Amino acid sequence: MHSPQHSSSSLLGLFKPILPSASILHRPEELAPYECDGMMAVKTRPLLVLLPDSIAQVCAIMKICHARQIPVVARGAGTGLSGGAIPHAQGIVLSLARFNQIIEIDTSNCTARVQPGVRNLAITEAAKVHGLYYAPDPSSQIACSIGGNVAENAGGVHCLKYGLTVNNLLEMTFVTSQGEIVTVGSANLETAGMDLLALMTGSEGMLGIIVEILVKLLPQPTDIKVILSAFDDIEKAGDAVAKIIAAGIIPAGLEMMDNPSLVAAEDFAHAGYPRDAAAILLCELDGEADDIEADRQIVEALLRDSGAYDIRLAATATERLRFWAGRKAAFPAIGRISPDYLCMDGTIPRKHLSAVLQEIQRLSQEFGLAVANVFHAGDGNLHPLILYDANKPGELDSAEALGGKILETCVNYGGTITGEHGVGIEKINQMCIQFSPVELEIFHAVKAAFDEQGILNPGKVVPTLHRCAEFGAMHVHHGQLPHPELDRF
Amino acid sequence: MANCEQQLCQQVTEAHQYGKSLAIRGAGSKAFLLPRDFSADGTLDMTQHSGVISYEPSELVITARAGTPLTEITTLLVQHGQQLPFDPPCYANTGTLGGAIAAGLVGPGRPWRGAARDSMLGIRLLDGHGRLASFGGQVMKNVAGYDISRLLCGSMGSLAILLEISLRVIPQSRVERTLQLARSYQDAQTLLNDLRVQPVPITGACWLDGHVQLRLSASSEAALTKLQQRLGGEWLSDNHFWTKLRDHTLPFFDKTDDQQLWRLSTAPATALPQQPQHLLDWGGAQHWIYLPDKTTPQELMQSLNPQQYLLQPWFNRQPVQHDAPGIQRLKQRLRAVFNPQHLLNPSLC
Repeated sequence: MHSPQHSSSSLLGLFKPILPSASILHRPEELAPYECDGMMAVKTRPLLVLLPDSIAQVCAIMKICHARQIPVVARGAGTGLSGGAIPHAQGIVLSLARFNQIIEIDTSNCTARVQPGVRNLAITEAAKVHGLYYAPDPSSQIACSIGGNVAENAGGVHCLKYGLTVNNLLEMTFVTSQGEIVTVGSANLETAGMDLLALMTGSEGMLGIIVEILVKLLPQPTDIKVILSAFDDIEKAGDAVAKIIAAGIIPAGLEMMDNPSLVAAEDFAHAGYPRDAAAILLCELDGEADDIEADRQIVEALLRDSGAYDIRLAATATERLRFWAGRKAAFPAIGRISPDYLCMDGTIPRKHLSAVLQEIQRLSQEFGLAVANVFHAGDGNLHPLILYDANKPGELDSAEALGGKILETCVNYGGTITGEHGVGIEKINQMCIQFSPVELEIFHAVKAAFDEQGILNPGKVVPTLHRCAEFGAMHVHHGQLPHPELDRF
Repeated sequence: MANCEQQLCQQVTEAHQYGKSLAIRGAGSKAFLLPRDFSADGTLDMTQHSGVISYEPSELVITARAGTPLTEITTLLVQHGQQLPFDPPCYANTGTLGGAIAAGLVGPGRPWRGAARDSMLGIRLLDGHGRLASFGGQVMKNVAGYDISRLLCGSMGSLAILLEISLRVIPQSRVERTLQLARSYQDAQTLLNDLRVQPVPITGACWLDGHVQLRLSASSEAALTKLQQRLGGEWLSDNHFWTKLRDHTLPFFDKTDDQQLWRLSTAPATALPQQPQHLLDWGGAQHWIYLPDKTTPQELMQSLNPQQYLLQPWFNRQPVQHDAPGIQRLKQRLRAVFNPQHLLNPSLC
């Protein structure tokens, strides 16, 4: 986008007539908290932060930004890990924090109509009294907003059985780059023609500003059981996962942690994990007590068969929550043992787990940086955490280079560079590896169909072909060098 | 059982060159859903582009070419104790995988096991420019780039030709039974509303001719026995009802010439007045209704919020336009990205 130059004061003059002054942040100390999101390695100061509280205000803001080609970065709770909400230096941050109302819990249709700034966990808290809950539960669920979840198509530890955000959405209203209100999807289970709701989900703020969401609620399961098992070899744990799935059981959650992760989590959360294990598996079964019991017997037999040396069924709800507390605190736990860490998010076909982990281990040694692995084992989503110290010169660059190599490894094994965290700015170079120039061209055209001027979240998610040429690692299809018209660097 | 990608590309390139439009055709099992004026200069036969490319039961993923017969896929899955979650209709016992995804039709398990888009993991496509591209993948979670794979579900070939499709599969339930309960339409709606908020293992709920049929899927007999003790009713000896419902081979779907069948999708708890010929499926979210030919369900529509239902005439009728102007514009722009000259399925663009 060739945007005209803007200044904080010129933009202030544009937005003052449509927003109360308390909804416009422009002083340096007010802007500072918005300089980054959950990916803290990159910081940019926006010209303004706007905090609208009505859809009409969002429309008015977008109309001005459209007319003046002002870059707009939408922001929820700012917990995203891929830098999707990092501001544009020449633009505004459009915070949806004041869209914090649960509009309706519809107990007969089992839905919740919410504003995008509502916290993920707040939906379940509100639905609880009706015996219902919202299934997707990213680890950041106490803080992250549902609008951000939709924009990133967030996952969580229960998506093996209950799906990602996209599988739990019915309808969405968004404001287009031109300031128009559009509703996609519906409270009924069928919409005509192409699936725009799915296209909008996970579009990372590139196609529209999400202002209202209708999510599906599920009845709370009658009973939940969690089995913790320990292995002396990570390969045995991977084998157990394949056997459980092949036996026709879809656990509500099936999580793996390697030794560095589980030790850090144990020291942090005192979850009761065996510190000497090479890997642990957490397997959650939910549903009717009789069904859980039938599945539990099969799962325990398969765990033993795969070589688990310790198998523990959480005896009480407290113990079950403690087992999970360790896993859910894995990221902050790593944060305690290392000054900084980068969290990767590749997904691989599960059968390649052991090969991919070996390659990560090799890369870890090559780069001289430790890696701890947390793994949504059931669905193949791997979170290698690269430990580094930003105060040591060059370590961040090293960590980023190592992260890039890990993602390339995931793609080489038939996987993807991001399972649930999104591309944002973090993985934009790796998009050149996963997608061909034709595919990237289609992405750019889809973006232009929604946002011709490119004012929504510019520079994120889809790299330009020039950037791919500079990055130097390209998707080579049938041995043909892509976009030969570009200079090499 | 062949990879015809090259031939299909060539056909599209030629069509492009001569400005001739193409109708994408699979087995033709859903041709009765096309508008009467559906036409194109030529036909792109997808049935030869067929075959399962990869299937690994422990990965829960199957990849097949679009022309693969649905029955070939379901037979293979059943051999490994698995199934397609969205259970697409197999009208006249035929139909292809590509047709199932393009039409986006879903079986009786829709509210509990999701739509075609919910099983979608990745696609390979050929668009109206003759471009080959792959989106999504063969893994369960993938948020890299825009979700083009799911966008194409239900797009009826108006954007691109589906070449290969990767889907998530699920295990078949260890125990599955059908419970029949005698209920009036009103009482059936009350029962379905009550059950919706309870954690019961329902995977099908239909009302027809004074009876509610519930499909219950569990890991143990004990769970189902307890449920039957609570709800009453009797077990049917088999589960054939659900296949007949899915494939429209129940007597209800034998229409006469002076009738028009309508499909009405609503939010599940919507209290729709009972019609003389009425089948309620999807736990209350899908109504099948007969009306005299050449009439429209005006009265029914007036009782509903326009945002909250989808009305579709079955059998070669012009679809009812539901899209707001903003949506129509976005769809037009997306068609311009993939199928700019309406080379593919022009009557559906």
